[in-house]
Amino acid sequence: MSVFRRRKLDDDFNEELASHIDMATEENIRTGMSPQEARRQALIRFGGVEAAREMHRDARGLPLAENIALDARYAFRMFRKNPGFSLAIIVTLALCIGANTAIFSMLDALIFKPLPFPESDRIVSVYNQDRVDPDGKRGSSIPQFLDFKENVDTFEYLALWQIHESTLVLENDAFRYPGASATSEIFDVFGLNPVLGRFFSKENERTGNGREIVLTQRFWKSHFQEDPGVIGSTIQLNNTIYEVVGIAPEIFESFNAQPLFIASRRWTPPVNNRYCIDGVILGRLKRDAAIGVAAAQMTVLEQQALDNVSPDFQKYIERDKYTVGADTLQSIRVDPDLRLKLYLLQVAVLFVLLIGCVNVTNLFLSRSNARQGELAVRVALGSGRRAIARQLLVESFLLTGLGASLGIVFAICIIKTINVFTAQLLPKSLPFSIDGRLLAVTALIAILISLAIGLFQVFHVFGSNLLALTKNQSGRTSSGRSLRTMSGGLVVAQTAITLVLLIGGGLLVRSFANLLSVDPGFNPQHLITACIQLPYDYRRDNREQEFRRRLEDSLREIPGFRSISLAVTIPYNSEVPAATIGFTLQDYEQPGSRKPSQHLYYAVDSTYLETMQIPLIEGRWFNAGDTADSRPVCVVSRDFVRQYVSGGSAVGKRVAFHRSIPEEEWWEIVGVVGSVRDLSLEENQDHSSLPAIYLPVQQQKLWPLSMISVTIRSPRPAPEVIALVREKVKEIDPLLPLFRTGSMKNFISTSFSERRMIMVLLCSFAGIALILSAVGIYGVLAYDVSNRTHEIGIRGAIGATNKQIIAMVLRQGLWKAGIGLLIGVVGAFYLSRFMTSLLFEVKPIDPLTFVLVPVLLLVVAILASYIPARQAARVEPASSLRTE
Amino acid sequence: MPHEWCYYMWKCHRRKKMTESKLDLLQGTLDLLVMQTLATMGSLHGYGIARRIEQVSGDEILLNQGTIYASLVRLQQRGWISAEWGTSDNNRRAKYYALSKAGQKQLAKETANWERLSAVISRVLSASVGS
Repeated sequence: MSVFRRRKLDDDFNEELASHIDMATEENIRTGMSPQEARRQALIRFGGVEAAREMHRDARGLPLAENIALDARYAFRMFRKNPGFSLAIIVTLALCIGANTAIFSMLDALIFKPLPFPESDRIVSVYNQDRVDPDGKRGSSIPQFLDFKENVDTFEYLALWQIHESTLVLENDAFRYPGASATSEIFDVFGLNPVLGRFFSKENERTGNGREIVLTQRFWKSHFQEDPGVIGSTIQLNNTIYEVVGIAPEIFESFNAQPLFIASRRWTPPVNNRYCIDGVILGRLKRDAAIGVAAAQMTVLEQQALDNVSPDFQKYIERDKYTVGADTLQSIRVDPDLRLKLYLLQVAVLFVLLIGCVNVTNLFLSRSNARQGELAVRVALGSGRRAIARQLLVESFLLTGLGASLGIVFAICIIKTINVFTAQLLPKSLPFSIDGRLLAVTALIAILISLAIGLFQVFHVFGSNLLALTKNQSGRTSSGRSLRTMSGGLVVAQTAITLVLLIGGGLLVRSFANLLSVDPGFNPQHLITACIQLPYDYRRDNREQEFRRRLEDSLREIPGFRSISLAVTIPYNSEVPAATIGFTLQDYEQPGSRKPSQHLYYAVDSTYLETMQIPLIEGRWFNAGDTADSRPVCVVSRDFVRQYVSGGSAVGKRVAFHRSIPEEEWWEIVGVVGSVRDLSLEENQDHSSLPAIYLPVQQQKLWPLSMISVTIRSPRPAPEVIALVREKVKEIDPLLPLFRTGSMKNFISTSFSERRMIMVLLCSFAGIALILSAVGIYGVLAYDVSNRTHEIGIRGAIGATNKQIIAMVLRQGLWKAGIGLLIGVVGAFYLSRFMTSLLFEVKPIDPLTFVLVPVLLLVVAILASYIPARQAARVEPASSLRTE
Repeated sequence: MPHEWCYYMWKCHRRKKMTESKLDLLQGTLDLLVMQTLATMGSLHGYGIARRIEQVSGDEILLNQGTIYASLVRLQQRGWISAEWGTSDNNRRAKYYALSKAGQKQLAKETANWERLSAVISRVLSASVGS
């Protein structure tokens, strides 16, 4: 392009030249010369035409683009001459920028990117809150939903949404899939249009006819091969027939990627009371409505409803503290716990980037020192300051650009790996990917870094007097003091940041180790579990007990099944998590706080104890005599006794779960068993160590018998066991799926997955930081030594021993590392308190970590300093003195 | 008699031209002269500027007319003059230059500088000659 431009400018000037000569010739002709003479004189007066052309070109100078292109060519030549240098910089930047991009992609996808729905800031989620109750925000009920739908005018659309797993019958085989049920306005709340077909019909909802189901695009692709004929067909869901009416677009999954289908929600009166939880209310606010106004209206309605409750119940609820609120969907997308973890990872990886930049800057600095000579010559030859600054900036730009490009490739790999691991963890989100936003952010980071490094160099180069340095081309004496202190300062900073990261990683490692060493309270070896959900017609026809008996008998026939238990709720693998329920204990007065004592509630059968191998400590376990008609009994855990029974034995005491039950019907404690730690509840840290009460399946009234958790202890491999169980279940009822199957050890391990992922990521970052810091220390010292070969040679010549030389170099390195360690420890002291919620039975200022980790870093620093020290010792005085 | 006298003067002048060296112009001062010319003459083409400078200086300035163009490019790059193709009185195509507002300001500044500088120098010179 610039070639054409140049030619145009040349032609332009030629025309101007010609015009000038012509005018001069004309004037000469007027003074009386002949045309040839006139022209000759004109040319003479003009001076050299070629010279004029050259001067014109020189004065024009080269366009900026051409200058930069030349600079770039020069830069590439320099890179090829120093491949080690260039590669070190590119790889370092690639690692750091890549890791940053990967982590930021998670943050962006989950937290920053606005939801892809039209006017998504108008979509809100409603919650109930009783300030007295520590459980925080709760869902809503059907009566509440109907009340708000009719009486709150700030909403344009309102819908009730609930997720649950359902049994789907497809091609005569039953499967259990995650799905959702919602009222008809759900898709209007999100402002979506169907990909195919239509959404729920409001007419059908009003009349109560025609159950409809909408499939997600993902489900349509995977199970129906995108067949448009699926519209209008019927699917059996939980023993009811639904008609497929439409396909929901893929962006719906940005709200929740878990459910594969959305079924229309129907209820038949009488509905549950207002204080049950039937789902979550989602709404779209009207255009000028404020979220606060909607919340206030709903609170007023709710408090009015409290007037109609039974006085008994009113005692539990403090009317003024009971409020209804609303959050924008964007703000609740990620729960605060996960948010903190993501921020932690991002900060950690930014630290790594910082360390990487420091290394790169140090490398550039040391090379710029060697280039002082070259640059000084350029200045002497007339290159302006601007040209040199431009050259330096172009170099740093190119290297950073190459590093960033490689970094993007690296980031894609990391993201693919994360997607594999987080498929379990974050089922609510779509897989992470690199999109335009991320590329823009990466480019921005790369530009900032290259500017920082380039400007740093420019100021460093122009800080020193360039011309004076033309004389000291070898650079051996000109390792300016400012350069040394700057490199040293950067090394100190690196070491400090690395230490902070390592301590963070160390704390997480200790937490994880603690977690792994927790005694679960039962024996998870060779334990396999699975879940069954009996459909409604079993309850209606009272066939639940019969099914259980039949299944148990047929499972007992299988050889190798040592013991079998058919419970309702068990730790780690239940349809519902073990409930936390308040209770009253005979002879026990609550210590006056309003918060009811909580415990975990398990409904299990008589073979549960021996299957799980939980130790029996006192009294007895359930037996065949404990039926629905006999006296209600229960068994408590050792933690329960420790907390609530002060003296004497717990056996014989009575418990009630509802205040209004007459005393004869209270439950009698007949035994005490060992405590079980269900770490899958560990996120609410209180809950995992709550005491437990066990009730016989037949006697308890909270959970329906249709929920079955099968537990089998067998030395046979898990897949075999599961296949056998599935067979036996199919024999009894072919359309009953077996789901959530697996060995107990797997379930326990999965409950650690999120923790494990965070720990692995943080430790990898800390590891990268450690390597970079070690390389940084090594690099600075090695360069220093290579600069001082002359001086070291002299020292050797006048009698310094190898040991003394090594000690001298080591001292230099360790001095810097030491200061860095101190600063790092102080920083870690201050910062570790932000990690408290991520730790498990480890204090933020854990003495073991705070001592071991700095020692580790010190050892690494010593090793990194030792290599250049050895090289210094190998310098031969004679040869070094000779190199001049 | 005046006729011969004129002839004689002219001949001496011509000799002067060939024997005495003329003042060599530094780059910067040429730029200044070009700007001054444009200020007085308004819009002018390269040839016109060169001729004008020669005339006004009474032919005392040694000017390779071609050097004007390098100066014009420099002035253009700094934004002190602007250029436009046009037609001269003889219907010839030529590039016309004009002083820009910034150029006017620069001209005033440089002229003031020059006058101050020359005043100082002549003061110093007269001082040393006198005392």
